[in-house]
Amino acid sequence: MPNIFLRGIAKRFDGRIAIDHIDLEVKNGEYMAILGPTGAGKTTLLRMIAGLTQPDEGDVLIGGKDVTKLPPEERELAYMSQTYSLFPHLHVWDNVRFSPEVKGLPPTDTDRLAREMLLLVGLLDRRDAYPKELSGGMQQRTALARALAAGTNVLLLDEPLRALDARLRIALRLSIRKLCKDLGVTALHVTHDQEEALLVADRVAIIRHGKIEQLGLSRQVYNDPVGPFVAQFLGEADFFLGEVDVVTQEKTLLHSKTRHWEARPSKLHPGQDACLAVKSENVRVLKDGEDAVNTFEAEVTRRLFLGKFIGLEMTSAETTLPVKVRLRAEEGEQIKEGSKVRLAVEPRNFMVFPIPPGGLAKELEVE
Amino acid sequence: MNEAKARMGLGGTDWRRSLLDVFSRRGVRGTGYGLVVVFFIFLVLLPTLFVLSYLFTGWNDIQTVVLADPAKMDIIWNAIGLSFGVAFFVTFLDLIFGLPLAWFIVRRNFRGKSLLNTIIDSPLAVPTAGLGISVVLFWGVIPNLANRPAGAWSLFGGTSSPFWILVLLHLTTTFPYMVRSLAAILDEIDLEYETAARISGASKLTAARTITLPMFRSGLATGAILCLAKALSETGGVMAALTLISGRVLDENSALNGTALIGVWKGSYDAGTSALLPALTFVSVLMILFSLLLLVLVKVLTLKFHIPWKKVWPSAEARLSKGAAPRVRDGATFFFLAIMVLVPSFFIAAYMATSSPTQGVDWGMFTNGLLLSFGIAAAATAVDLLLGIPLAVLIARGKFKRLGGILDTLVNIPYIVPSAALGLSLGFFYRNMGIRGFDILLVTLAHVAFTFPFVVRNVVGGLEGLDRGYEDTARTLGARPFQAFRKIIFPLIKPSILAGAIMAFTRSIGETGATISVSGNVQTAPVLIVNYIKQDPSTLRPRDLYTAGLLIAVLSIVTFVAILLMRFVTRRRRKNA
Repeated sequence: MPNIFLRGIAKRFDGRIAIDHIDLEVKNGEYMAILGPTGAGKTTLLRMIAGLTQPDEGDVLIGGKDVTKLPPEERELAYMSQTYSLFPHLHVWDNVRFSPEVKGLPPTDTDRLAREMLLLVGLLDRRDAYPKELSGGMQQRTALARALAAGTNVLLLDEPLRALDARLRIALRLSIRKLCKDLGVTALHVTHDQEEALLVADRVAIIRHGKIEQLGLSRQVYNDPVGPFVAQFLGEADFFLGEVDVVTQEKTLLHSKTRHWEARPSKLHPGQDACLAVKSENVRVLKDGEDAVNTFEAEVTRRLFLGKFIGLEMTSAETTLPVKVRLRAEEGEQIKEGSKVRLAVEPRNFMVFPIPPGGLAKELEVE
Repeated sequence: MNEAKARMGLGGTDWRRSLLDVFSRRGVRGTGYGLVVVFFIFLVLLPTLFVLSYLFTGWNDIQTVVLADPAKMDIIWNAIGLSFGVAFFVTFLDLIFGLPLAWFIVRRNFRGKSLLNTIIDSPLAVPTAGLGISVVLFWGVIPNLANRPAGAWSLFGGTSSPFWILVLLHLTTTFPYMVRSLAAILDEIDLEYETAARISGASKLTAARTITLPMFRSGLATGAILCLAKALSETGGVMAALTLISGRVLDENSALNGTALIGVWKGSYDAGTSALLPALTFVSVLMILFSLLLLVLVKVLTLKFHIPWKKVWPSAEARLSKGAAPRVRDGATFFFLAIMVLVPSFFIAAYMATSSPTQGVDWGMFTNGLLLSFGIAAAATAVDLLLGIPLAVLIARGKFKRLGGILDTLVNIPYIVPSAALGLSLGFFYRNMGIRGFDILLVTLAHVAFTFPFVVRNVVGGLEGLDRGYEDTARTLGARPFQAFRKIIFPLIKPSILAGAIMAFTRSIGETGATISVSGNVQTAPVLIVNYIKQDPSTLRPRDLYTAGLLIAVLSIVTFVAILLMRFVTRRRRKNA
């Protein structure tokens, strides 16, 4: 069972906490994305699983076996670094053959494995090229073929698409997932790109300050974030402050100095300070005379053309933070900068969280 | 996939894999590294510094025989004063003229750049004993030589000042080092900063002075240390030059620098004047201590010392940045390079061309000397590689960063210690251990000691420039540490290893001081060159000078080929990077 299991794993660098006691299980055959801002500890986590960095505390188990003390070469996994680290002095062919060869596989098997993997990534005809003679995408595929030729069932991918340009990144991300699924490989994919994470993974772990903020299916982490940070980090969200009045099975009622809000049910209790969050695409612009719950006024300060969408940035008396709204292009066509609009949020789209310990502004910082 | 995995489990049957398993065990690897460190300490470091222990064991003798004897103390202080005076002055000149030259090489694009680089390096090919002769032939008074080719000496009669002749000699031995280190650092400084300064309105000179210069203090430090160490360490060339200008056999009453004094006293000591031991060791100890102190001082000073002219004179500096001023500067630089460095270095060729080959060259001694030189250099380089590569790996990749840092500093010591003092120290060390005879072996060990830093420095540099991702990836793909080294690291840092090996080899080939101070009986080619000059300077025979010239030519050509080779491999390294 090649699952990955982390138990209370922790790491400091020169006294600074990089990984803060993480527990995590990646199931057999699962494709999991580790998503987080730069400096969150994603790469450190991956390197500890690979055996390239020794954790200060905790255990790493692969397939039920404690590998914490084992060197990388005895862990039976494959690792692909951000820069691919294709060996520059070896041909594509010898790069892909590297792992079976150093593991002492008979030459016939080594060659067969290399051939299969190169065929799989469509690079068999470039086997005599040096890495620097390949395009970025080909280099990435070579690195993937080399990792897969290791014959292990665990694949660790550190920002595998980072070095590619945007279009290629989109084209390749699904093909990595398909390869892993076809081969039944358990994959852990580190990225800072939320769209990539949501698209490619079965489950996404959002990590920040060395801790896992939330772990769940893509849909869950997007629609039901555990807190303001995740709400904002995946997509875009608007925030308001309020105090809880009533919590029922169907909804939470809150008020601020100026008004009342109606939001999703929550576990908060009456009298508690709360923050309300809504994804930008769930904020509606009301037509003249139209009425709804949770309406408020805002003034458009900036109008951004995003192709398919129009992004609006607004100020409102209801919140100190800018209000961001995303509309389909045809809806947003009429709205000019400087104009006043009425907005509304459906209660089922309004999430309620306790105020984070360091305050909302600090929580939303992406370093 | 699973089938492949199943087979991998069966992969460990043949003996090579079992051997690999043994070598990959942490304990075995740790022991290996431990052994290398022990070898480094006992084969290189301790012998190099052993003579310092005499400060404690022989303090009484030093007090009664040396410190209490004003005549001896005079000799010692004069010699050390001359050594350091010359070294500082030469380093200063190297800086003044090396900076514009380095700038010219790095920042200008012109055809024949690589040729110019090769020309600047070319004096390094001449063994320093040869440079000693050649420089005096060009600049100096030679009382006992009739029929010499016209050189700079014919304009003013030639200099017989020990200070000036040593300054002129060391310009040839050190200038290439200075230009190399300055150019190397300058090459790494992004031109963007200077461009940004120029776009903000600074003149060329202002931009260079206020932006780029302060950024390469480390290059200045490296260059200064290399030049100071080289000038302080040199023995063979100094003895040849001082003998030629004085026209008589050197003794303690001649004008000597520190290393020549060690050479002279060591000669008398070997000839039976055992009472010289305290004075001989004392001067060596002083040379070693002052050199180490100097190393620390230069490092600290260049890193702490800020180039102080923040003030800018826009119009004056702008005027100096264009028109005649830069042309005058470049002209002066190239004039210096030609007249002070290149022509004196190769002036012996003029002598060879104008004097006729004479009868009676002792070809037996000639070939023996050459064979001995090449043999010792090859053996020393082999030992350097064998011990130096693992030590470099330990320094650059070891788990214990502090140990790596300490070793990194210690490795430089044999480079800083004047090689004559090093040789003396090493000779005493092994004799103290009861090893007598085996002179060639001891000389080889001395050569290992002072060439060792070249290999380690280069390999550490190569490893530091190598992305760790390669090794990490190799390990995760299943390579044992030894396999990762052999299949990935080694091929990628091979150019650095080769460069280090060639530097060590050429340095060994040209060395005189360490060889004669270990043993008077090992007559390598550079020792022969000095001996030809020194055996009877009052009747300097054209035959001897001619034979010395032939030896110099052979050594220079071999070394020059090695330098070309080094340029070739290091250029390939850059292309691959």
